[in-house]
Amino acid sequence: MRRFALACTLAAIAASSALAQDAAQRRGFSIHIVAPPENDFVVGKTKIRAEVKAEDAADVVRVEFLVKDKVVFIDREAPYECVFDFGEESKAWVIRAVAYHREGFSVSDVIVTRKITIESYEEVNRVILWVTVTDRSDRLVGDLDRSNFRIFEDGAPQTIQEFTLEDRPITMAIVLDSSGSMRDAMPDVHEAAAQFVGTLREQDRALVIDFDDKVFLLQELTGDQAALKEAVTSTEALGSTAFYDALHAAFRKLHGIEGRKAIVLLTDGDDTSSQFGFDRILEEAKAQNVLIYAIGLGDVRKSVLKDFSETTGGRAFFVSKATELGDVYQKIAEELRRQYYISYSTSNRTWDGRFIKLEVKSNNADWTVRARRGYFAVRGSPGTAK
Amino acid sequence: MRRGASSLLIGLLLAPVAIAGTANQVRKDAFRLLNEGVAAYNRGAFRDAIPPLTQAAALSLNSFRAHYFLGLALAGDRRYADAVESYKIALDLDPNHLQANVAMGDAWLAQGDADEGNPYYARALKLRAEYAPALDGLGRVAQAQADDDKAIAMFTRAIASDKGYAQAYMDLGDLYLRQNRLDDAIKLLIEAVSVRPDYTPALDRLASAYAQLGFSNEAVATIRKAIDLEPKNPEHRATLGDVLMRMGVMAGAEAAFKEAIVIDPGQPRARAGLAEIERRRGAFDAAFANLDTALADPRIDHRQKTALTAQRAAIAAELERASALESRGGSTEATLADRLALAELEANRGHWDRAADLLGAASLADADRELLAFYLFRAGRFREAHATYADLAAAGKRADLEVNDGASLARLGDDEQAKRAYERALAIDPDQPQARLYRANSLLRLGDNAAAAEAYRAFLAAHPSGDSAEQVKRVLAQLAP
Repeated sequence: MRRFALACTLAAIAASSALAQDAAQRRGFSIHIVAPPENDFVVGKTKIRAEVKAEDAADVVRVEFLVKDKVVFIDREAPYECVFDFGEESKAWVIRAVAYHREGFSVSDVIVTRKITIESYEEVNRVILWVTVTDRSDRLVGDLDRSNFRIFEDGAPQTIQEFTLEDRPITMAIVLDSSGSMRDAMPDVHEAAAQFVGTLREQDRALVIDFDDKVFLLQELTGDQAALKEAVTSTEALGSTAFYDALHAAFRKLHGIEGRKAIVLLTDGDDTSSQFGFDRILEEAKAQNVLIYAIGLGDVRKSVLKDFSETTGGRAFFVSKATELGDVYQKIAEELRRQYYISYSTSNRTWDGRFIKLEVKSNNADWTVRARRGYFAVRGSPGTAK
Repeated sequence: MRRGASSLLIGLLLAPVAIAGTANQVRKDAFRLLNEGVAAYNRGAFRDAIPPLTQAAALSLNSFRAHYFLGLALAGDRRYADAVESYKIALDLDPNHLQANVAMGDAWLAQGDADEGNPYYARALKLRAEYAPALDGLGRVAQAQADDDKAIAMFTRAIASDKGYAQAYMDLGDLYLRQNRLDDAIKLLIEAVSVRPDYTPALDRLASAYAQLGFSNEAVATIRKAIDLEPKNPEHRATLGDVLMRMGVMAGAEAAFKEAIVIDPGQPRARAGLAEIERRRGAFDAAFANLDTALADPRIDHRQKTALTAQRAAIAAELERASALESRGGSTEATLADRLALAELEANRGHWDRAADLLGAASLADADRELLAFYLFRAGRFREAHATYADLAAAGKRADLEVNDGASLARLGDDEQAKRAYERALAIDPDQPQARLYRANSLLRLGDNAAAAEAYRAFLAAHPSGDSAEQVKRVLAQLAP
């Protein structure tokens, strides 16, 4: 008897849901949350917007917006939208919008936002930058002091608190493309990368990542140059190119390590097989305080490598022949030894998840100054103490 | 804080892995280790699966499978915080993986964080409408947020969506058990077992439900079946211990709990059961040692931790009271209040004889004599219990005292006198449920089946649900099949 009752309940649930769907389909009634996008990250006051399709606009009685299963707003006329304060902490949120038809049935859409993980240290209001300065001849400029620089956040001037020529150890991820197209270049790659390893100081540490369509860790973080050289000279060309995945893996490996960090990436082609997309990796690059040095060998999409490196304060190099790699690696090594460390307390007081644009200007028009382009205004984000 | 701790654990897990080698060797190793780990996971050897999968995930940085299976193996070994870290990478690599989203939700929920788990189930449900594991997860989230109605709705939807998804039956059954809807729980769990006869978690819960209903034989038979199917699962041994302890078979319970901790030294229910047995013996140090072992196990989940901590606090409070009372109880200065409190402590440990003796030696008021009668009854001293209850019943017209007298007489084998006591109780209060039920039992034992059946039916009409009703239904089915 009770089993029969359970079966009836189950059947009733299935039937009522099916009937509502059927009615909605017949009426061409649907709802779609268009903002924020699925899997985006939200912080602070954020607009939630839904588009409702109906045969007649008057069919829509109301649209309810729910966050974590609680109704936060009811809108009775288009455009269907509301602003909700998601607070200062980045979390995964379930956002639901339900549209009610005047005939009594309803349709709904759900999006789930993503929690963003950002490099964070104890001094949450402290912003740290590593700055490189070159002159018109692309020579590194040394012997500067804080009076040579001005820093702006979204146009607002900031006061430099610490300034020094950086000579503390660096942690590095050496990321090498070993896709099939690299076959002919391999001997030169091995030689150039091994020479680069040789430029590391005793206190520096590095890890080695090798990628084609798969990403492998060949050497865990170490200061052992012999081990690093063995790893970088052992790669074999095979497969397609997943350098977004490789960058993501490098971010992951460097996450949580304090101090100056850099990724030195070599690739000879466009990404063809990553599970991550360009936008996601660019967002990750903005969220992590890691300098990216990208080397494009041969015919590569320069804009992609430039976007990654310039966003982070690193640099992109492009060479047509593998024999030129040695010089580029040498240049990167020199640059990493001649960077300025600058820190300041941000004047920002609004932690709403926006990307705060950073500009570092010098008092000499002949100089080019490179530093990361900004940070996300999420609590803990800019803090990048030593 | 938890995240920090878990990263540290992952770090420790990775620490012994020597990662160095040529590209060719690393690729070969990664492939071999992944296969080894997945094979171990698939045969249920979660702990064996963890080292090769940890190494595979450390080498093969964008392998969804390595990170996902590592998460599954860690969760299988109840290392939920570590599992979350692995699932996080797996879901970064493939955010639309249905099972990984559900697994992540499960890992958060196991740590008592329903808020963190909720979005993953919601995403899985978006990826596939009415996906039973996601609905079931949302049901567990609702349950954790104390919204039982929503939880029942979600579990019911999960079952409606996939009648073969035994987990939802089990979760709904669990909820019914907690709500004391034993009848509903048993029906549902029987259905779960009929859907998947080898689904041992449902057998395990069914045994618990039977035990709560007092169906001891069914409880033991069901949990034995689960043990036969999964002899190395410590959960089932712990459940057997719980069942036997509920039946009062303490030696058997202790043996079952000890079998469970041989398989898994941190098994929390087995440790809790052993602690309870030691407490009853008055061996507080041993009780604490058991609880502390379970609490020190990093795999413990939020709910278990809360329960064990509460159990530990209760034992500590009892120890404090016991020390004070026992020092006074043995002396000539012991007051009646001391004796009553000490007797209560002994009773709580199952030492009914000692409790009765402590009170028997004192001059008592009627309310305390009633307590004495109860201790005598539980100590199996039915003649003394009958004498006390009969005396009390004669003094004050109370149906429950007549019922207790009847129960004592029944235990002495005097069903005729017992029946009369129940009838005296019904004369005072015609609706007294125990009097109705026990009178029917007496009639049955006296061989008057027709009158017994009539009395049972009358009982059932007045009390159609609950554990007694279930027992009566069974008796009636045998009387008039």
